[in-house]
Amino acid sequence: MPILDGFLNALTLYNLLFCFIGCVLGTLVGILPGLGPSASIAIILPFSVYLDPTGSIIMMAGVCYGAMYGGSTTSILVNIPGESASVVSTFDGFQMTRQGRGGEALWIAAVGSFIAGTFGVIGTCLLGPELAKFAIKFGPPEYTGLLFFSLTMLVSLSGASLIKGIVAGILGIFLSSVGIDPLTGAPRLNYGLVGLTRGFEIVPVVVGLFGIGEILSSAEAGVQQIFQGKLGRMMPRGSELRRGLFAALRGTILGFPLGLIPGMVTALSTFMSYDVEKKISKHPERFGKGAIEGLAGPEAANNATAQAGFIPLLSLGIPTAPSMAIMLAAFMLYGLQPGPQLFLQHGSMVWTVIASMYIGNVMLLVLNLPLVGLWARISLIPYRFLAPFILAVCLIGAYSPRCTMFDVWVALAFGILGYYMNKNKWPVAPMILGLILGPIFEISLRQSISMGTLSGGIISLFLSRPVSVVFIALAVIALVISFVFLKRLPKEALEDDSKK
Amino acid sequence: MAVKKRELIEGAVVFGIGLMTLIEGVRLTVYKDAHSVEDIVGPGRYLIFLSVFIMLVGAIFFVSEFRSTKEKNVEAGNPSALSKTLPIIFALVVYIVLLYLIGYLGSTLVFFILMHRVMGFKSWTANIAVSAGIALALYGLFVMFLGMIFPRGILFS
Repeated sequence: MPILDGFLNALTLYNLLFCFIGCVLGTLVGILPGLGPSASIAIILPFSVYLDPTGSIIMMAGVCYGAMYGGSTTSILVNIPGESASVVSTFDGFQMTRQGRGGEALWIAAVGSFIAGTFGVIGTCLLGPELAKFAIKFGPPEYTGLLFFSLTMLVSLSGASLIKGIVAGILGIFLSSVGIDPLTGAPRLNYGLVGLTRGFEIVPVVVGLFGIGEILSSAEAGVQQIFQGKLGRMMPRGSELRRGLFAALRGTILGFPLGLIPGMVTALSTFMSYDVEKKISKHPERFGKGAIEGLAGPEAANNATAQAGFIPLLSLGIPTAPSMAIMLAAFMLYGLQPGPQLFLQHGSMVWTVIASMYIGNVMLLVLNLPLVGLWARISLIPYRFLAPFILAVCLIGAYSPRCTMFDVWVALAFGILGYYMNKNKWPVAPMILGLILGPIFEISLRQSISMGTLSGGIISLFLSRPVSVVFIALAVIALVISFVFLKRLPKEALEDDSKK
Repeated sequence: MAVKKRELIEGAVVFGIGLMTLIEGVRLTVYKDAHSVEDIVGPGRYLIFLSVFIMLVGAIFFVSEFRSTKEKNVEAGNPSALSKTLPIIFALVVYIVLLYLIGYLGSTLVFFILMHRVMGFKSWTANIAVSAGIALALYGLFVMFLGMIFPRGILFS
């Protein structure tokens, strides 16, 4: 089997060393807000040209995974998502830290990612190219159906007030439309301001709403430390462990097929996984208050989506995410053209890279599990030292994606907004969801309408596409279930106790 | 009543954002750029479609809060809360303004000194020493190691 040859090559000292370097660098860079896998790989890319192709690609794959894990670490420990895919980890991960269970949160995040990576490699070997051929048949109507289904998550993310959640979500979509029209290039909602012409970048908004907003809320509440008292176990046990592991498996199954779809936002799989976990849980009122499933599922989904993203890249030459686009650039730097021929002409290298992804997952587990206790102790650092550091890093994180001071002001403005929303029980998650999904929903909807108008009817276009019909039907079912679920639970159960 | 007033204002603001979006959508629909390429929907109609939703949910929120007679479990304006958060916001504004004027290292040093003071650090000597150490560490990490390019400061360029 070619994968066995891949493992033999990947387990050489030379390739293991580069995998290790990639994992460590990726984790260190990923911890910094605003620097996710894309930025991490881009930073490493110039140095990698001095290495041989296989070693270089292995290192960059390690950087990608390391950055994802690093981003989750800050989400869990200090409520600052490193990138949009880590936002969901703050919902329950940070609450676990506040309860002295930061060690358990980091442990399940690492193990969940490992489970997703393991199944991802198996999926890549068995199904890879065939799944990729199906996924590229996704057209605008299929995307519209999928995103419409995704927007139904606004209901479950709304918490106690459904109307506030929907308002926040629609305002998120509004914020995503500021800047340049994606299809025509017409400036809109910029009112002559150069900064607004570029639109709102997701990272400054996220670090503002979550990072700066949280610091302001904690200052008002007079918080001395994120957690005061004795830290709990570093590893979940019993029913917590079982629930976490099963949630990780479900997240993997959900995230893997989504990662195959070109243009699919990685964060979407994390929101979907969270939504699924909440809907199937017997005690959904625990979500947002430290439910381990609310962390394990999205973490696994994130990793599975990232793993699956390599399949269209390697087999079809199609990058499914910004980090994959940079990987594609790396391949082309070495004169390697990803696509169907890559497996034929450079099969040994490809299978070595796939095997090293799994080894990278193992390395991350081995590297980070012993450090869980050390990381968890960050929650014991007095806030008078931690808060200024977090704020400074937040502003750097806001600046880093586009190197513009406008984004720093955006982070501050959204920090104040986040503080206001926390104080007045407005849910923040729907706004982020709207901001993330808004642009691709608009593009796919407008393209679908154009296609429908030219082909004899918009509705008939959607009805003629089985995938879009399925997603729209799922959206309706999800809405019905969500409304029934909301009616059954008392409002107090939906409120976020952590803000009291 | 102060709580209800705030929520009515929130509803009005949301409705206002919808109205603003509607005006922009109408502008883009009516005043088309002769040289631009357009799809069938166009840049304006999508905004009009979105604005309808925003005004609708804003109106529903406004009406539901207006008709609500339940007690709200929210603090209605706590002046002492602002005394804790305003200094932090002030320090952040000073940091960002100083980034323009004196560049990254100096502004980061000033920011940490201000923030440590706000968070209750009494000793000036220790404050300056710790702040200088952290500022240098962040400078070394982000500027020298990661190669980020921050503003050099108008006064030093």
